[in-house]
Parts: sequence; structure tokens; C-alpha cells
Amino acid sequence: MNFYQPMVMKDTPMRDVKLALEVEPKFWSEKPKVKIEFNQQVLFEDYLEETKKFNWTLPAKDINRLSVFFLNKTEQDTVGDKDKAIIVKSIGIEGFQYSSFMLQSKYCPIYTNGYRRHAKENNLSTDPIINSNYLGFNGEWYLEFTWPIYQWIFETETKGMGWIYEKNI
Amino acid sequence: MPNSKIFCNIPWFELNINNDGSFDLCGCQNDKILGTPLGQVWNIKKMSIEEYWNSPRMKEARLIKLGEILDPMCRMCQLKDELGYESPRRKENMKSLIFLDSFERSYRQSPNLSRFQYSENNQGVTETTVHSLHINLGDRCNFACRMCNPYFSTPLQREWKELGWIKPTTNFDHWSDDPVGWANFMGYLERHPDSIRVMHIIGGEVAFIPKFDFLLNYLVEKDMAKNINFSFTINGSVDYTKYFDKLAKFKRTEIGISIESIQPIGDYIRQKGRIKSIMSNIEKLKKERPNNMSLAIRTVPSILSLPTYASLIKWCYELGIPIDNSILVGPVWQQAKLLPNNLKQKVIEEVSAIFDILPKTENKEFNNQKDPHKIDVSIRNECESIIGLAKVPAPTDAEQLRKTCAEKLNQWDKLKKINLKDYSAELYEFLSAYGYEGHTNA
Repeated sequence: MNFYQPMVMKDTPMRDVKLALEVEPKFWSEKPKVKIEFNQQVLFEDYLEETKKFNWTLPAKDINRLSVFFLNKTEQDTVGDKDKAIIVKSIGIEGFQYSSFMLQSKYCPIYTNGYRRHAKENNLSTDPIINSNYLGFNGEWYLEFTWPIYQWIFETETKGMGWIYEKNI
Repeated sequence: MPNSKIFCNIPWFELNINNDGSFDLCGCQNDKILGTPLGQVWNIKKMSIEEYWNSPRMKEARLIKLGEILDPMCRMCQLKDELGYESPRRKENMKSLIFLDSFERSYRQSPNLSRFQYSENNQGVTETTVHSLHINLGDRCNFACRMCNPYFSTPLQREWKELGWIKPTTNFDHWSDDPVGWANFMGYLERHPDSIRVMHIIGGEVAFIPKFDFLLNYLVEKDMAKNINFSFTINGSVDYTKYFDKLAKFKRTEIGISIESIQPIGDYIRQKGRIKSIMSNIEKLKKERPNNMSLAIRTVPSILSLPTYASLIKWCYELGIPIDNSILVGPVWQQAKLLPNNLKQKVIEEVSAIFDILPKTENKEFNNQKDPHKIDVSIRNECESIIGLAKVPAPTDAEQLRKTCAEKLNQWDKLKKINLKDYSAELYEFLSAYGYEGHTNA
């Protein structure tokens, strides 16, 4: 049998994933409110007063989604240089913290009407999905990854190389 | 669950064919059966690759990797692991997506878990086929490197016989010249055209090995090249651009270039080499290579090369070519740990100075040392490895081994009519205290 021919994976009792997340609040008046979900299950929902680090071991599906929702921003929260935001500082998966994880993440800002007008006048982007770990609007930041997680980590880290590991063929 | 310090997935997919046709596990293995009576039993001249693949020797090799006892044949990886360096085992296990830094969890998720479990439950048998071949294709070479041995170099065969280091009758017949051996090899390729994904060729110097050209042409003509990651090691002495058209047809190619130092001592270590000319050839390779080709500098740090290693690291970094060293297991009398403390300290200071100016990098745990896209990581790893090597204390029998080193080099240099002092004043000063004289005109 070819080494790379797919074999049926026995379902192991360890179908879980170790996740770490660090989020930092930015505010000058009201604290930002955050909700963190994994595969639509709420892990945390509260106001953030200081940087918070989370560590979880969670059951994994074939496709997984870690989400950070910013819930309580209003147009009045941005005044001059003052802002209210949530910054996703780091993501760890299985104990690894690679910058490629952050590069895979997406952010769907819910732009305010005021910002849309401002963006139109100044030719700024209002793309529905952007790459940013600075959550300056309400909306969802998320990272999707697949199972087996080590395959996803490897492929994410070695994009384009394909030298060491080849997927089953 | 296997032991994370022992497990290696090599016996499930790779095969090493030595100069005499004997089979071994991998290129990094010490105590190969090359040239031994056992090597005549487990030999491509005597059996097909399929027969060997599930032979008692291979079954035992798999069970050792699944067990609790360190494999005595894998000292190089064990030494590298101890130094915290990128051992080949670490990289090889990535082929099964097993991360040594998260061994248990990644092992359980490995796409090859069922294969390992199958072997565990069937006395080491595997239902896989070889997909990676590590082949010595010939011993013809134009160099006579100090840390090499006659199985890899025709000039060394002559010199070692003259020096009396091997018997005049020692046989160096190569398996690739044997009709049965060659037929068994080519037969495997014909029967399994789709299963070979990795092929690594060593010599000799491939440019002087006719079978290298033959194999290259075969893989291209049979349209196998497009699936194969093809790599080989060269000494950098000739123009290799003539192979580029064919090499461009492979899925990926990698050329490892063996050099030890960019200082004059480089020519002392790699006899018949001219380092300035080799450096130009490397720069030409870098400039003209096809898109699917990457380069790596392959070194074997030794008592002779370590004192000038910092300048080699610096040159590689500036050129953007990663370094991947192999720890010298033998000859013991050339091991870097025999250097005196003052020279070791110099190495530590010089390499640390390079290390300190390199950009800080993440992802040190998980890196292909030869990945040219991560040159900073590669060079940092190399610096750490060399600093670690220079910190290894001299063994208790260091004085005797230093004497052996001085005696051997003295004998060799008198035969060659050269003197170490013309290449390295510091090494001459060190070894002359142990009796080295070298060639003199008197």
C-alpha cells in the first residue's frame, strides 16, 4: 500500500483542541464588551477591563471556528485619538503561537453609518471581511481551522513549501 | 503510546542503500552494516526491495521505534536532540505530522497512526511501501575529505591503502555496477512508479557518477519526476547548471553543497577543493537555479572546521542559503569537542556575535532547517547548534584522542606533502603540541 494512500482514521477519544487567546481592551470611557465563542458555544461574555488570557481544551469538529465578538461600540466611543476597541493579541493552538495563525484570521466589522459616509468621502475601504486583529467596530473576528489540527497547523505554517508532508493522494 | 524521545517514522517509508548495496534505515544512521558480513545478507544484490521491506531486520527496526529503548544506531539524532537542535528525526516525524513538542497529541492525530498501530499489532510488519529512497549511487569523487571515508571517495581508497589504514585488498565494488543489484533497484522503480516521492542521492560526487545521469533521464522520461522531491549532495567543484533543464521537471529539487569552511582550512579539510572557486560555483547556482530548486549548505563540524565556522555562517546568511549540519560521529579523533578551551571560547564568542544581530524569530520549535524562506530561523538554529557544540566538554580520553589526531594528520600530510601551518596557524599551534609536524622540505 502506498504510504500516502488514505487510511480510515479511527476516531480517538482525544478529538479535542487546546486553544489559547489573549485579548486586550482599549477604552477611555465605557469598557468594551466581548463575547467569545467556539463553534457557536459561548465561552466568555463580559466587559473587559484589562488584558485577559484564556486557555481552553475544547471538543473539535471537522471545521472549527473561534470567534470574538465586539458588542458595545457606538459612534460616540471614538473621539479624536480616543477609541474603544478590542485587540486580539495572540492565538495559541496546541501550545504553538505562530504568526501564521493570526494571518489566517478574519474580521467582519459592522460599519456604522457615520463611518460609511466618512469612508465614501475619503475613498476608504468598507470591505465586509478584512484581516485585522484591531477590532474597532462591533462585529466578529474569527479563526477557522480544520481537524486534524496538526495537519492544519503544518499546512498553515508551510504554505507553498509542500516539501516535508504531502497530503494523502 | 511510543516514547517521544525514541519514535521515528523512518522505518515506515524510507530505505537507505549503501555503497555495497547493503540496506540501512537512513542516511544519518551510525553503525551502518556497510562493509560488514551482515551487509552481504541484507543487500540489494541478494533480494528485492519488497523482500527486505518486511524482513526480520526491518520488522525489528519498527518495533524498536515503537519501544522504550534508545536505538543505538541513531546517535546522531540523539546528540542533536540533546543539544536542542533540529534533528533529522524531528523533521522526518513531520512527514507523519508528529510534532515532537506536542508528541502525544500529534501522534494520536497522525494520518499514519493506523500504520504504526498495525505494525505494533503485527510484530513489526507494515503494509506500506517505500516512498523515500536514500541512495549511494557511486563512490567516484575528485575530493579526499578528511572526515569522509573510502566508501565515499575513490581518492581516499587509494590514500588509505597507502597509509596502511585499510587492507590493500579491501573491496569497494559498488552495488550499482552489479547487474543483479541494479536490476533489483530499477525493478522496484518500474513496479512502483507512483510510490516514490522522495529520492536523495549521495556519492561520491554525482557529476562523476554515470548512473546519476542515467537515473535523472529515466525519471524524467518515465514522467515520474513530476511527483518526486529529488535531492542530492555535491562538493561544489564543477558547473552543475547542465542538469538544470532536467531538474526543473521534478516536483522539487534540493542541492546540498558540502563545504566546511570558507577560510584556507576549508581546502585542507576538503582536499583537492578550491574554496574560492567553490564559492563562485555556489553563487552561480543560486543565481541561475530553476524555480523548483533550493540550496542548502551541508557541513560536518569538526575539530578542523569549528574554529572558522563563524565566517561560514556569516557568508551563508548574507547569501541567503540555509545551513544544515551533521554531527560528526566518526572518526572520533576529529570530533569538535577535542578542541582546547581557548579555541572553543573563540568559536562561542564569534558565533554569539552573529546570533545577537539576527532578527528575533518565533517558531523555533517547528521549522525545516533547510527552508530558504526562513533563513533567519535556520541561521539562528545553526548558531545555537554550534555554540552548543563548542560547549560540549572534552571527554576524559581527550588527550589520547588529540594525540591520535596529530599522528593521523601528520602521517596523512607527509604523504600529501602539505603542512597544516599553511592553512591554519591556530590549529597548527594546537596540534603541534601533540606531535604534529606535517610535511617539511628538509
